Amino acid sequence: MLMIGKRLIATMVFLSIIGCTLTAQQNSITTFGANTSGTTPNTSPQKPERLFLQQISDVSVIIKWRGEAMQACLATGAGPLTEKTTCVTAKETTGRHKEALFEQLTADTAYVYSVGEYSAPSLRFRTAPPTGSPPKDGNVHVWIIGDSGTATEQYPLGNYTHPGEAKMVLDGFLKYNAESNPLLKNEAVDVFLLLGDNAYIDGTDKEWQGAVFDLYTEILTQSAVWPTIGNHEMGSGELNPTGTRIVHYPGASLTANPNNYMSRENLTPRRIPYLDIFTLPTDGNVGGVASGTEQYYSFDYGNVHFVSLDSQLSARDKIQRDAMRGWLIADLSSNQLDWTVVIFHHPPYTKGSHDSDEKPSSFLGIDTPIIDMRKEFTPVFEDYGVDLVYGGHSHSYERSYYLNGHRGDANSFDEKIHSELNSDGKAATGYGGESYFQVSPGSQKDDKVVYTVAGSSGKVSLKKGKLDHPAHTVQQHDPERRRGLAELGSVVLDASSTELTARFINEKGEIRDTVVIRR
Amino acid sequence: MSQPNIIRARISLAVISLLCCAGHAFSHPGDEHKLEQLNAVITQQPSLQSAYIQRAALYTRTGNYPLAEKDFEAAQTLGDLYLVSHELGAYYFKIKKYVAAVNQFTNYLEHYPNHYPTLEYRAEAYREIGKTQKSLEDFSHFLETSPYTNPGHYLTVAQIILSETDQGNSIDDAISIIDLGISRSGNSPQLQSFAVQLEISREFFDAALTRHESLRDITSASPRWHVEMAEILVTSKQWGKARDQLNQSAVKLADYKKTPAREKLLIHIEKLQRHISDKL
Ligand SMILES: [Fe+2]
Repeated sequence: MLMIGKRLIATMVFLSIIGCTLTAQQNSITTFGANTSGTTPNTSPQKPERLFLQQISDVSVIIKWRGEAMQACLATGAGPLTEKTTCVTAKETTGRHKEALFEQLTADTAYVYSVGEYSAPSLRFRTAPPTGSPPKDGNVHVWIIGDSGTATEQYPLGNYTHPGEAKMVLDGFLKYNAESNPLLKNEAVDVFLLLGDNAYIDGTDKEWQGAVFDLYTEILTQSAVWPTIGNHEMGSGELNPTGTRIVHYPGASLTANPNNYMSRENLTPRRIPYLDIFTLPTDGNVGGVASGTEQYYSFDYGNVHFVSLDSQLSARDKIQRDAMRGWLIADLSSNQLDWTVVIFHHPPYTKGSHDSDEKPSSFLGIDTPIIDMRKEFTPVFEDYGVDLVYGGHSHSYERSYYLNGHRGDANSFDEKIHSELNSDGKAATGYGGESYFQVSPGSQKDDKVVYTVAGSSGKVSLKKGKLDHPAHTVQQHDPERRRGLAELGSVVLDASSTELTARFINEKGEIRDTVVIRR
Repeated sequence: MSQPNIIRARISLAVISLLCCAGHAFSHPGDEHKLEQLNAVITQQPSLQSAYIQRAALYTRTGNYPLAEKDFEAAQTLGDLYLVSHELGAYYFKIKKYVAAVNQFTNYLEHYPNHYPTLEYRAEAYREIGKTQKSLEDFSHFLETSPYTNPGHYLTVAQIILSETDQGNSIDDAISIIDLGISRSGNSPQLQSFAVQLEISREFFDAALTRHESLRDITSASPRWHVEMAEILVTSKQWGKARDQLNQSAVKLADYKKTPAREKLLIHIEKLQRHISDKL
């Protein structure tokens, strides 16, 4: 819905914001030997304040940074920039960012790059394989983190409440990737997915810097990052709990309007920083169907189709939610890739720090998207070939059985009706001898989906949650055998042409849950 | 409730829901910190108009209306009146004095005609007092000037036009809003398919076909896209062309990965084919 009634923008602040958002200029491309850097104009030896890759496809990449440098250069190969190098003059974009778009690259090929005069061995990436094919190494390697933003969380009293925990999860992943990854040791991350709430407490630009750019620095320079909007990305909500006094509460924004963001330190409504930070495909140029908005989008990486939905803004308004659903149907109807993975912040099934059985009006309506996404979007996922759905929001790990048709509260779940069954007539677990098949042996249709809550990449909390949603599997590594893990961690997803394997990796680098879908 | 009222109520409800009812006590150190800063500024510079405006806005946001009013009054004596108008309009809007709000916003827009937050505010205030045409003019201007919009914004305004304005021109007006959205955010199925339905409803079948054709590449001419094209052709009684589209869809479906939706689509194709056979 259009924003109604909360435009309290101080004029001078507003005008200064507008002044710096409309300064885009066109890219220009030159090609020359890298050793001629002395002739490169407007460069700086300084390391950019932030540097990350956007929209890696089989033919293109966007190098994005904040800093003095005015151009980026790129060459094929694994070593320093000694081969023939292409340089692109950056265009300036919102939020004081610079972007250099490189096109006509070669698929599934290693590149190195520099930004201004800053170069480092870590500045390298690999283009995506041709759409439809798995990469040369046989495997799309995906790292997924949810609710990871605690490196900047100083709420409510100004002290750090979860110091070092997001870093522990990162280290756990790196340890697993180096030592235990059964496929390829130290395999580079092809796709880096953020499930929302990645920069506590209000998703300010400064918090994105501390919680994301200063923490995942190396991965961000080597893999494209693909986010979704969580409730904390929208800052603080304006609430009037007693009816007498308006207060501002982090993560409690109920607006559907991205121009209506406010943070506790600056209550002037303005555009959500998320949209200034990320450059996401609106025109289908990385695969998928054009969405016309960065709030939700899709892309292809090799043989995997990814969709990022907006459960925080678009989902809160019926017209916008219907529009997003219509787009999703068009998008999935065009998709022919081996696997389809969907992300959005509010999980349809959870009994962690949030409860998917809450009434729409509970807790001020903050969690209403949980119910709307379950009722209106899970039927689309099941009908249109989605394999895996990831969300966060609850700060624990919960992973479902292979589900179909469960739209109601937890107590309406019936494993015989709503899940794939094993030979004993019980819900199949998804691992060992009970791995799933894309075309369900039970229904003979590709009509089932695994839903995962992965919201413990920065902290663990359960509040009143008991990790007992019956649609989720019992976790063998949980000391109480609950249907979830109250552990820090992240998800590693590997997709070959025949097998999709998702593992939950804790902060020690140990595999704590595995689910496999074959085709 | 009539259709316009339902939509109006729905939109208003979503707004009201922002501001309602719960027993939680929330802390808000940001507000207090900001207030302290502004108090200090005003102590040092007691005739600085902008500080009073900002403090009034903060009091408005935190629901301290008497203090807000006092600061607005002070600000009006310290400089040009129009500089106070946006925030004062926002204050009136908040306390539901919509006519007063419109007057303030109008005053502000005379000096800053493209200030999109004020435009959006005034559009909403006009709606509240039943001036739909004025409201739509402001919404359109807002959509043209706002640096960030998404397809949902245009669909919302198009729905308001269809439900609240005279039937005579409403489809024209709704389609021009959708086309504004397409020109600003690019062609997308959400916007174009909505326009297709509007063209069909007024029996502009060629326009509907052209619009749907524009989605061919965007959807990679999916089996579903062909069926949607066939449906427009069936509605316009172009039976032969419709059958061609259905055949193309069926051929593609045989190659595509099977999903329940595609199985249902095939059944739908067969039904449409039988319907066409009866007509030919
Ligand atoms: Fe959340």
